[in-house]
Parts: sequence; structure tokens; C-alpha cells
Amino acid sequence: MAHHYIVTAHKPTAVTSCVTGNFTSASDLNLIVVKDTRLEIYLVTPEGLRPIKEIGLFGKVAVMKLFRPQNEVKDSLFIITVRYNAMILECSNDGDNLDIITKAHGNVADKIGKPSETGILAIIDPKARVIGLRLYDGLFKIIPLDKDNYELKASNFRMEDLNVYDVEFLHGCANPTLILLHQDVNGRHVKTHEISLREKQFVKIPWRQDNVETDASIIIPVPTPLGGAIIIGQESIMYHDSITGTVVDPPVIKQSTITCYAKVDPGGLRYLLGDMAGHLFMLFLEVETRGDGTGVVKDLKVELLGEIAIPECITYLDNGVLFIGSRLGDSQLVKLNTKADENGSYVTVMESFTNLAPIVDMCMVDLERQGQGQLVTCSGAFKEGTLRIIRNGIGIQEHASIDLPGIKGMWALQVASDGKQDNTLVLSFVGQTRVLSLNGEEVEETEISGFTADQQTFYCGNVIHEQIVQVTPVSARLICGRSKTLLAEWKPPTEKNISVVACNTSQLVMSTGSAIYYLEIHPRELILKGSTSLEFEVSCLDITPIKNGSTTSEFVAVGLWTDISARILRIPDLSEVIKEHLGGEIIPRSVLMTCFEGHSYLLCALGDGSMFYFLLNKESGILTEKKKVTLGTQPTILKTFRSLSTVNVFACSDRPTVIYSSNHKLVFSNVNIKEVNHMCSLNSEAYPDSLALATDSSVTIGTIDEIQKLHIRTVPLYESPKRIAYQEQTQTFGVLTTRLDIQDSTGLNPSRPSASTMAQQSFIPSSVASLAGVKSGTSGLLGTGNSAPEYGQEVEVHNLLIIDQHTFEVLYSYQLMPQEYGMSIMSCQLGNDPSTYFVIAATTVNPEENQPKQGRLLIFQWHDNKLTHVSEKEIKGACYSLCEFNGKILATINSTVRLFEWTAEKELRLECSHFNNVQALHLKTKGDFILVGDIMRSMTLLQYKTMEGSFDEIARDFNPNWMTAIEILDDDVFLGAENSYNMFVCQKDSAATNDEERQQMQEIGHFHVGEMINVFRHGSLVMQNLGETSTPTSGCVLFGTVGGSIGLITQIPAQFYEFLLDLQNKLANVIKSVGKIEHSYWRAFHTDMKMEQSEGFIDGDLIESFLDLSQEKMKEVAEGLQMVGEGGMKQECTVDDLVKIVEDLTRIH
Amino acid sequence: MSVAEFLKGLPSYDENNFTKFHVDNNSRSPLKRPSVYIPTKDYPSAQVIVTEKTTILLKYMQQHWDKKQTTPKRDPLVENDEPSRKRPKLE
Repeated sequence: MAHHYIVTAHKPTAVTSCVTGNFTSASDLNLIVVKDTRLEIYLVTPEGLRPIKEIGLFGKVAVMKLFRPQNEVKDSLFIITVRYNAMILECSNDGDNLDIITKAHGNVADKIGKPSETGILAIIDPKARVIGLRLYDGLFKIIPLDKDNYELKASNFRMEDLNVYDVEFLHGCANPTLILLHQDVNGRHVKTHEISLREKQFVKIPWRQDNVETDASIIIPVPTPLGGAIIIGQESIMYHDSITGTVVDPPVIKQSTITCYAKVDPGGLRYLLGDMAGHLFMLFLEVETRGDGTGVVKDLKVELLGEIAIPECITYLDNGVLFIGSRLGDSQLVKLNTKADENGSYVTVMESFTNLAPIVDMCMVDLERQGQGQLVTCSGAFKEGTLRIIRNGIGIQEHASIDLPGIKGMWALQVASDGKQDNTLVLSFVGQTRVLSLNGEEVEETEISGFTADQQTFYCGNVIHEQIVQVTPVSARLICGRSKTLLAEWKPPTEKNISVVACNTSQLVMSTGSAIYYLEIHPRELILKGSTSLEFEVSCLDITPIKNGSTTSEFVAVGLWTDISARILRIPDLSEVIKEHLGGEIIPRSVLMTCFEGHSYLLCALGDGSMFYFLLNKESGILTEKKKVTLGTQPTILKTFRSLSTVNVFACSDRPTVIYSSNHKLVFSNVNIKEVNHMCSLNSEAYPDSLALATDSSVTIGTIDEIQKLHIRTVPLYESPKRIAYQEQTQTFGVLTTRLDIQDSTGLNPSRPSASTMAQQSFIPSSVASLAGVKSGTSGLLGTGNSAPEYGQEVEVHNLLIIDQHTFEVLYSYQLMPQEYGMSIMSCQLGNDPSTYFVIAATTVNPEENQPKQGRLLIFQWHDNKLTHVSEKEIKGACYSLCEFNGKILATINSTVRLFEWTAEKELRLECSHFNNVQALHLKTKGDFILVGDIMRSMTLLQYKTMEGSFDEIARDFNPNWMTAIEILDDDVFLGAENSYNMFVCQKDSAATNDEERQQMQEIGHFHVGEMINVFRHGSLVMQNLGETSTPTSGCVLFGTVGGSIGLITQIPAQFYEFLLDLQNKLANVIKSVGKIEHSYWRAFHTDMKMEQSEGFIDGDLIESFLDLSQEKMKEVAEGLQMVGEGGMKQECTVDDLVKIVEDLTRIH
Repeated sequence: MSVAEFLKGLPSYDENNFTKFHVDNNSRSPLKRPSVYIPTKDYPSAQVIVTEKTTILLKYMQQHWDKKQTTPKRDPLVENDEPSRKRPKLE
């Protein structure tokens, strides 16, 4: 029995709905944004949007509406989830505490009824008398908003109009009156229905307008006094006031389709419209006043304002500022200007909000080969298409940067200052030392008279008695901190130069080869107190005090050449306390004694980027518990720095790492910068609590995050990425993309510059080039019956892009044939052929065929900045996925699974096939086993018989699951995600007694994720194999969703599962759900066919919310919880135990 | 009418809103995510939304049954003038 822990590493970011109103108080102007299952509440302030609260719901929001209940001064929120849970939420706000109160809740699902294809529509009467819901075809549900009844009785009305595209309530009607846009065999029509609440049916049709534009899809009800409604079509916009209609067909809107709108004025004269291409329009109702003072709409004006992110929803905030919610790209805060900019746009983007959605594909790469993965996702679509590079780590915010190559050391000093802030930066280079003075943000070069400038500095720092120490290869110099004059100088007694040095505020230790000298710093004097000679040369030293509050050290830590050892020597006689051989041939480069959370450690970094660490006994100097970790690949230098009153260690290398301690365990966290050679803490007036970091070419001053988190880097493609594959050998990514070209008088032309049109090199099939001039369908290459696209038509053009892994530049763009779609890509080595190839699958899509019948596998080699088309194989259908399988190519083609081998002639030859699927979409392999995910027949496990050269169907899950992604967790356990947002785990039962049982996969776990999963990948976003975790998790699979969230699944042992399950149940009790949806209901596996309680999965999101509870509530959760303690005995679990366990769990992502 | 005129007089609820807006590229966190709301206090719901269990077909029939009851088409007591289609079997 396998048990799993599932948790969100990155919450959904696709904005599906947004509203503006007075929610948190009557005077607060709020923006409320829905991101799938989460609500975010913002306050509009002079500084911009201020985040107030994020609310997680136990359901995916289908519709959110803000409304003003009768006799209220602020707005309430109505929400209905995709599983028909309805709720009315109100905010109670007493200044400090904000509470979301569920005023009403309930499930409004019907037992029978056909869910409408146009989705859930929910509307609220302008006078807040009723809520209207269109959930199922032919039915309309009305919830009367009676204040006095405990029960709000929702009743179904029969609606003869079946295909309803949009519905709204009209303004200014005595009884609630619907206006709807529906379609029948004759076309689309607008119709109104007056509702009788008493008779529970529609009583009359006040007016109707048959045969509006066939592509009309949006109704905008116009507020009083005008009343009536606007109907938005593909090419025309109509206003209808119940008597007559006014229609305009502005050419600007024809290019794309309007999908959303926002009302600007409360009176309803101006509206903002957004279309699928990311255009923002303003619609204006021109009103003429008649003799009796009433207005009539004379004309409709539409103007293009500019370009925005492809909008899903728009809302007007204040003073010309809008929020653009996007599902396909980054959401935006934009400002409307009355004057156009140089591009003719009236829109300025003020702020963008990172959005990963939709994650169409992704790959795990370990670009630095450090055991920490980075995720590269294919995110967004159309002009919002991007690659996103996601990695976990600590962020450095750059504040200043100076170009200075060749830095060998760096120290911050206080020179002739009273304050406690640094005002000087000393930089050391080969053969010279330079001093920079920091005056506010100004940096200028200066001199300190007592310093030697023509030597490299090994160490420099403020020491006791207002003095400064500078150590160069020649001598140690003591300088007065006020007058900057030289007070004393100490030179080693032999001719040898000083090679290594370490210093604290009162002690100095230096070595010349194998000799070590210990000096104490006195006023105007450096006094030699001890010396010794070791058998080998010293490679690194440290003398950091480790006792609490002490400024002097009792020990010196030494790293040695030749025998590769770390030693602790006692001060002052430098006698050896302990010697630890590190093994191997890599010399220690940096040694550091440090104290974290009361424990002392000796850290010793080697020349290959690995680091040993020991527990160091403060009294005896004894080293215990030796452990090793890999931090980088280059020599590493360790430096301490303070951040928020805790001590941290910065490991400078090609993979900078911050080392800190949490719960008495060392945590190694990546830093989001490429390379650091040297660093020092800097606390100057202009740069408080900062770090100065030196790379090969520059010095950067920045501040550091307190905690590690996901950092997202965006590489815009301006076209849709579909599939990605990483090729380590060539350090490139292969990405399949789609762009939209528009047929115009000169042929097909890209609608905008994008990655494939701006590549360094490109290939365009000759047929396309010749097609450009072809006006009619004379080209045989397009196949029979296909003419060149109509003028103005958008045509998808598919490309293979080769992208550099370091710069993310598009090195090459290979355009596929017309009508050919790029379906899948992989990087692999085939047979005995040493080359690495990109294999891509293309399929010809012919609109007349019910499924593709033709396609090809193309094999490319990227070599010497050239893309070579090595081979090609025709296939009979669409290849949905590709896998490398024992040096062969495994592909799912329509309903089949096929294996191709690579011949010596560099051609693909079909070896064997398997036919038992409807549409084989997904493929994963492990050893000889192949897991196939079908469009509707769940998962099948195949085994490849090497001897026979055939496939054997081992087991199948017979449940009808519509698969969206699959993964192999281990030899027997398989993970599937299906299109009702559920996840399930199946197990192969090898021990079953008969064949029938063996052929049946057992479903051993299921869980409602609440989001559609597009892709699973093995890997982890945090450093692996650090060996120090109390949480017994094994394996890690990441998933990416349509909503832009990233989650992970890991296996946990049964005992831990039972414990977490208890904790989860306790938490589900203590934490109250907004909307009063039960946690068990939310996580239950749920499809149209069945609902089963969640099993085999722990909801990590709920578990982690434990850390946000008050101490008192934590106690309530901990009460009665039993955990398995040391020795396997059950014991009471304390709050501290729980905090520790849950904190550890948060560190797996 | 020009676009500039279109965009004149956009609604303003508080004229100060967004006046001090500037994106500081150096700011430590451009826009922090809002803190997560973890409610632990149980407020009893003032109202519950219940949905009618009867299907609209049943509802329709019930309504029409009521109508039928009030105006019956056939009164068994009234003698029917029309000759019955059913004839008694004579043989």
C-alpha cells in the first residue's frame, strides 16, 4: 500500500475573475481577484494596490459576483464553485481583525440535468432581489434573497431556450427580468423573461429581438435611466432599449473576438472591451436628450485604446486605472491616458503580476548539476507565450553594481567615523589594493595612508581599540582608525611570505607555508603569542570566536595541503586538539567555525565545491558527526554574515549558497545569482544590512531575502510554446511552438515578431515560400480540397526552436510544413549511435478528417550551431507522445503504441506495435515497462519482451478515466491525473493468485486536486540528498497545471501517513472553511460518474496551514495527537513537535 | 469625437488613489502576496441555500393536476350524449 503527500509549491496564478467594490468596509475600494481556488483581496490606495488577504476555498470558483444587498452600505460576494457550492460572503472588519463571514451557503446541484456546454452562468438582480443561475440546459435556477427566511429556497424554472450563451438581469424593471442570448436552428436571438417569484416561472416576454449576429456572445445590461442592453458580437455591437436597436460594425473589432468587458461610469455610458488578441477598446453610448428630458442612445462609438495582456476579465478601479486579469499571460495594472504615446496607445502598464498559466509542458533540468533542479515551463499562449525558469532559493535584490574585474578579496570598514555604519570598501587585486569610500550612494576611490596599496590584501578589518588591520603577503599592519596612520607592523621572522591569514577583532593568525603564528592585537601593538610548524602547508585558517558573547577565540581551525586534513589547534600554544582526515585529493580551501542556534560547527569547504561539516565542542574543541554536502563545483569560500540578528554563512562559489540553521539542522539554500567569488557584509548609510558580492567582472551591492522561495525568470517568446525537451550534450532546449500568421495580399505573414521569426537562423519549407505568392488553392502540397487561406484568416504555423540553455536566445527556428502541427519532442540517443538527437513528431491536420491520418517523425541533430535534418519516418496519424526506450523510439500514434528502432543506415524501422486504446495520449517508461495513458480508458501497463520483440499487456485500470497526465512512481505504483481535476494511484498486483486479478490494476489512492494537471515530471526544486531531514519522504514528482500552479507528490511511509491523517483531520476541524464546504467533500475523488472519499493522500496544503495558526489553536490541534517517538513507542505530540514536523515538510518544496 | 474626449472625466472615487504609485525596481518585494486567511472562529451561517428536490416535470404536473381538479373535463354524473365508442360485446 503506497501513501502519498501532495502539496502546492506554487499557487495558481491564472486570473479567472475580478471585481471592484466596497467589500472590506463601506469606504474601502477593493479589488477582488479569483485565481482558481483562491481569492485575493486588495485595497486601492494612493500607493497602488495593497494586498489585504488571500482566501483559499475548498472549491474551484466558477463565477464570482459582487453585489450590494438591500439596505446595506457595503458589498457582499456571491460565489459558485464548479461543483455547484454556492455561498454569500461578507467581510467583517474591526480595523485589526478581518473576518470573512459565510452569510449563506449550500449546494445547488440537481440530481439530473445536462450541464451546459457554455458553463455555469450566475447573475444577480440589480436590486439584489434574486440570484439567477444557469447550470443545466433548459433550466434556470432562482434563489430569492429573502433576509427573513433561514432557508433560501432555490427553485428551477423551465427555460425553453436550450443553448444559452449569456444571460443578465435588466435594470429598471418592476419584477426581476432576464435578458438572454440563445441559439436555435434559425440563429441567435435575444429574449427577455419576466420572473414571477410567486408562481415560480417566467410569466411573460417583455421584448425580444430575433436574429442578432450569429457570433454574438456577450450581453451588457445598461443601468437606468437608459436601461436596455448592449449585445456584443464578432463584427457588430448593438444597443437595444426594448423598442429599437442601434447597430454599429466598427472595423477595429473584427480582427479578433471580444471576450470581456468592464463598465466605466456608474451611469453606464462607457465600457471597456477586451479581445482575444489583447486589444483594449472603449465603447461609448452617445445619448441624445429628448424633449421630455429622457435620453435615447443615438449612436455607439468604439475606439481602440491600445494593447494589454490577453484579458480574461477587466475591472475599472479608480482614476483611470484598470486591472486586467489574464489567464494566458501576466495580469496587469494599467492606466488610461488622455494623450496617446509615441505608439498611438492610450494605455500604460503600471505593474505586471507573474502568471505561469497555463503550464502546457515543463522539464526538470539541473543546469549546474548540483542536485537542485530548475523547472522550465512552457507557459502562456499566443502573444503571452513564454518559457519560465523556476528555481527555489534565496533572492538577492541588486541595488548597485560597479564594473571591477579581478577582485581577490573584499572587506567593509568603518574609517574615521563615529557611527556604527560602514563607510569604506577595501578591494584586493593581484599585486594591489584599492579603497572605495561610500558616501551616501556615491562611491569614489580614496586612500588610507597607513595601508599598502601595491600589495594584495589577504585580510582587512576593524579591530579593537579603534584600529584597523591590513595583512598583505609581506606583513600585518596595524593602522589607527582615526588618523589612518600606521601604528605597528609585523613581519614573519623568515623570508617566506604570508600565505594564509585569519583574524577576529582581537586575534590574528597567519601562516607562511607550514609555519603558523598567533598574534594578539593590543593598542598600537601586534604581539606574537605563539607559533608552531605543521608537517604540511596550511591551506586555510579560521579564528572566529564561537562562545556566546566572547570576542576572543580559544581555537584556531586549520586546513592542510597534502594530507587533506582539518585540525583544531588550541590558543595560544597552537597545540593540536583534533585532526580529521577528509579523504580524497581535493584540498580544503576555506574553513570556518560558526555557531547556529547555540550549536557550534566547523565547516570546511574543498576545492571541488563540496563541504564537510562537523559539530564542534565549544569547550574541548573536539569534532564529531562529520557530514558532507556538495555546494558547487569550484573552490568555495565561506564567510559569515548577519541577517535579521541571526548568523548565516555565505558560501561563495559557482553556485552561491546560504547556510543557516533551522530547528538545529543546517539548511543549504541556493541564491538566485550565478556566481560569487567573494563577499562581505556591508552596512552603510545608503545600503543598510546589505551584502557586497564580487563576481569575475563586477561588485554588486544588494540585500538578501529572509527565506527561500521560488524565483521565476521569464523568457518571452510572443508565440505559444507547446512542448519542451532538454538536451544536456548541446546545452540547448528544443521547444515546439505555434504562431499565428495572417493571410494578406502578399501571402501568409506573421501577425507580430516572435521567437520563431527573430531566430538567429531559420528554415522555412520551400512550399511555404512558394505559397506566399499563391493566391488560390493551386498548391498540391496542401493536399486536395484545400485552398490557400482566405484574406485576413489566421493560420497556425508550427516551429521547432533550438534555444540556448544559458542565454535563452533562439539559435534556430525550423518551420514545419503548412497544416503540419508539432505534437511532441524528445532528446535522445539511439541504438549504438553516439550522437544525440532531437526527435520531433509532426502531424498533418486536415479539418475534414475526424482524426489525423498522416504525420512524420523527424530526427535532427544540433551540432556546431547547425541543425541537421538526419532522418524522417512517415507515420499514420498523430504522435501524441514520444519516449526514448532502450535506445529506440517509443511513440503513441492515434490509438497505437509503436516502437521504432534505429538502423545502422540511420533510419527508423517499426519493430512492434500495441493496439488496445481509444487514443493513446500519454507515455512513460521505466526499464522494460511502459505506462500508456488513454484519452478515456485510464492507464495500461505494457511490458516489452526483448526476446520476442513484442509488447505484452500486463495490467490495466478498468475505470473510465479521461487522462490528462500520467507518471510511474515506482515499479508497481502508477499515478494518473484526469480531467475532473482528480488524481489517482494504481498498483500493479504481481502477487495476485490468478491472471484475471493480475491484469487488473488496483486503485489504491485517489484525491481531488481541484486543478487540471497537464504534466508530471520526476524531480525536486530543493537540494537533494543533504541527509538531514526528519521527514521520511521518498521520491518526488512535480506537476504543472492549467491554472499555473506547481505541486509535488512524494511517498511517505504508512506510519507517518497515519500520523499526518490524524493531524489533517484535527486541522479540518479547527480551521473553518470559508463557504462551509467540508474538507472531506473537497478532497473526495469526484467525477460525473462517482464520488469517493479521498484515500491514500495527505493534503499538504491543509497540513502546512498549521504553521499559520495561533499558539492557542496549535495547542488545540496537538491535543490528543499521538506520534511515534524514539524507540517506536507512541507518545503525546507537543506543539513544538508538530511545528518541527510541519516545518520540515514545508522544506521539501 | 476623439479618443481623448472619450477618456475625459473617468470616474474618481478618491482622487488620491494611485497618485503616489511608483514601481521601485529595487524594492525588496514589488507586490507581496496577501497573507493567507486561516479562519478558526465558527460563525453559524445565517442562511442556508437549499435547492428544490422536485423535478420541473413533477412540478408542472402538480400544478396542472390542481387545475384539473378545479375544472374537471368530464363529470361522471353528467350523461354523455355522444355514443360511446366502446360497444358492449353482444355475442
